[in-house]
Order: sequence, then structure tokens, then C-alpha cells
Amino acid sequence: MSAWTAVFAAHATELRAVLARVLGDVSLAEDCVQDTVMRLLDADFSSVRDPKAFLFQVGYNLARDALRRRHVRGSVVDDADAAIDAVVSNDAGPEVHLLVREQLAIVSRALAQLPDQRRRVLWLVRVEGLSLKETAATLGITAKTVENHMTQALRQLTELMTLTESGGIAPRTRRAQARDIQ
Amino acid sequence: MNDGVRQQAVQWLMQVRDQPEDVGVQQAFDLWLAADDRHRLGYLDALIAFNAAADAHAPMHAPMRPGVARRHRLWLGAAFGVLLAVVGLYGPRWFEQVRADETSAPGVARELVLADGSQLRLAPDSAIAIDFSASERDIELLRGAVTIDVAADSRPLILRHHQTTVRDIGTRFAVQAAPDVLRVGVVSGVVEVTRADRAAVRIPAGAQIEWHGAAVEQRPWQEHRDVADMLLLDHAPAALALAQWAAFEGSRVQWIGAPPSDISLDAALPMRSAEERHAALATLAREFGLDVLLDGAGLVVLRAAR
Repeated sequence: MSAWTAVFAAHATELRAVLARVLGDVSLAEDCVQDTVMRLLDADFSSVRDPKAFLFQVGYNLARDALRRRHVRGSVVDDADAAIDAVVSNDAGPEVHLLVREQLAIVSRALAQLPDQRRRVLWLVRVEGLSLKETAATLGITAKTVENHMTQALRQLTELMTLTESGGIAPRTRRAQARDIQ
Repeated sequence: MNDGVRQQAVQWLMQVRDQPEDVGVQQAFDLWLAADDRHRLGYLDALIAFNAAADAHAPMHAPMRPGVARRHRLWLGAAFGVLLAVVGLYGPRWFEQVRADETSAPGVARELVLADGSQLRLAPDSAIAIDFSASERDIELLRGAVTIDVAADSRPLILRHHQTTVRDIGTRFAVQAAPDVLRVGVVSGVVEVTRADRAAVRIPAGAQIEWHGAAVEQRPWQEHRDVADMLLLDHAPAALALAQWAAFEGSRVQWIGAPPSDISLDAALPMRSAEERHAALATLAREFGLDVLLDGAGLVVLRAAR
């Protein structure tokens, strides 16, 4: 019995509900949850700091890949290179938990570089679970300032992860790599 | 991903999280998502960044020496894992027990008369909380199933279960709950059922309505008296059938993935001994197409077979 089983039992329903809403497709969400479970069953549990966050991180990544594939299949592809780019270069593949570990490491490093106040805001909102108003009251600043800090912090982290996942390589080079694979 | 979408996604993430009760915000967010798959992708990117921040906050604290930090992480990780498993699996049941005013033991139904004269029958392994005031009679079904013969009284009798409210209008009715399934049957009179923010539904005598995920099914109501040591299933979907089975054992059923919803079962399965209960579980697993991943320590973990 995998140590992950208890984590699935406690959080799979919530993950399914979140993905169903974001994807707008209950069956696709269910596929992603099942995929998450299957991929994590044998993943190393002991080195995971926050199993729920890790589970959701894998689920979100798989959902993003599934959505990209659906988007490419469902669109009229004028640019075959763009289609290859969308599927090949961003697919988390079978080692999605490695990608997730990399994402967590990136964010960990990036957080250390954030201004103190922004880091405090992110901590109170994300880890302590406070609302924007509660965070504002705790820090003695306005809710608007809290929102600005959060927006800036998340934008920075999102851009950083996107850049890292693409390997900082120009799109043309990635398309060439995709052709080489074929 | 264009910057505008990224910015919008981050702002929606904040708004949706901060205003869960604001129907307008939630609906506007759903419309924004549905407008373009790029919005969905942008939102998933934002979720990935936001979620990663929870796991990666350790550097905010004073760093420990590497060897000590590693040992601490291992022990804390193991302790956290055990705690998470115990709380996740047994916490809800413990919470139900603490809140309950009346419970029935696994495998044993129980009849009682309330202060107002209403007669109440708890199915095996069920729990209720009772709160009678000067203006209403409030009963919360915490777990299992209950049948109520409502005594005449000027105060309305209201039965609640999660976000569902069943309001009697002079009646005898039964409520059966399982994860993702709620069944309300009416023997006499009329009840009015309100689920979350949906419009109220009136159920007349002789009818039964079953909410199963997003599906709603109406059927004639047939009252079944529990038979000792026999699991009686009346057109029961997997979630309900396994909940009834678990009520004999006092076990907790945990699903990995959604229970199958395309099959309902009528059955009478003997439950007189551990062997028969085990055989009943095997029968249910076969009929519903389930993999039993774990059966022990009061816990059964199930998954729909692929």
C-alpha cells in the first residue's frame, strides 16, 4: 500500500472538483485525477514536504498538458510548428513528478529573492490561508496593496516557471528539436 | 501566453479565492474561463505558481544545518504523513461522533422517540444531532440513514444533511446519505427539499428522489424494513451500496476516483458472519466493476476498475 493512498483519499475529491471547474470538462478532470494517482503511486513520498501541495501540483500540470492537447486538436492548425511546439515542448510526460520537484525548487529559490513585505504577504495568504483583508489588517497595510503584492509575486513566479520549462530556448530551436525527435 | 491573460488569471485567482460566497464573482469567473481555452491555461499557470508557494516556504525560516535539517525533514515528513493519514481517514468520523446526540452501532438499527413525540428509526451505523428550539425542530443527519414519523407540532421539523434541507409538511419520510448520493423518500404527506442554492423541490407521498452527483432520478418510494443480518439494496448505485455495506461493519469506505454511477443494484446479501460480509463485498466489487485496493483496519479503499 503506497503512502500516497491516504493523501489521495483525503484530497482527490477536492482536486477533481477544482479541475472540473477549470477545465470545464468533468471527464477530462477525472482522467487527470486518475493519471495523477497512477503516476504518484510509486513516487518517493519521504522527501515530499507538503503531500497535498505536491498532489495538486502534479494534477495541475497534467491538466495543463491535457488542455494544451485538447486545444491543439480542436483548433484549425495553420502553423504546424506551433502545434508541435504546444504538444511536444510542454508535455510533462511520464516524469511529471520530476517537473513538479523542479517547479518547487524554482519557487523556493525565487521566494528568497522577493522583497520582505511581498514574501510576508505571500506567506500569510498562501500558507496561513488569510484573506486579502485579513492579511492587510495583520500587516497594517491596505487590501489593495496586498492585492498588488500578490499579483506581482504570482506573475513573477508564473513567468519564471514558464521560462524555465521552456528551457530559455528560443521557439525556433525547440521546433527543430521536435523535428529531430520525429 | 500573453501578458494580459496572465495578469487577468492572477487577479481572478485572488478574487475567486477571496470571495467564495459572491455568486456574481463566481459566475463571472466561470464565464471568463469558458470564453477561451487560453484563459483556462493562464489560470492553471497561476494555480501552479500559487500552489508551489505553499510547499516552498521553508527558506523563509532560519535555515538549519544541512545534516540536522535532513534528519528533521525525514522525521517530520514521516510524522506528518502518519498524522495526515489518521486525520484524513478517521477525522470526519470522529467529528461526527463528537457532534452526534444519537447514534446507532454498526450492524444494528435503533428506534427512538424524540421529545416532541416524533418516532425516529436510525439505520445501522448512523448518527444525528438534535436541536429543538421554541421555533423549530432541527435534526442534522451526520451519517447513514434515518426514517422519521413526524409528530404534529406547531414548529416545523427540518432535517439537514450537508447543504441539503428537508422540511416536512406533516409527514413520514426517510433520508439516506452516502458520499455524493442523497435519497429522500416520502411515505405520507409532503416534504420540501432544498439543496445548496438550487430551487426547492416538493416530494409527494409515494415518491422518492435521488441526487447522484449532478443527476437527479425520481422513482416510486418503497419502504424496506431492515432485516437483521441482511444487506438489502434497492436500486442502489455503487456509492450508496458500499455505504450500506460499511454500515454493517462500522468500516470507512474511501474512493479513489469517482464511484461508478452507471449501474444500480437490487440485492439481498447475507451478513451474518465475517465470511459472509467479505463475500458480500466481493459480490459488490464484481457487480459494480471495482478494484478493492485495501480491506483492513476498518478501512476499505476502492477504485472503479479501468
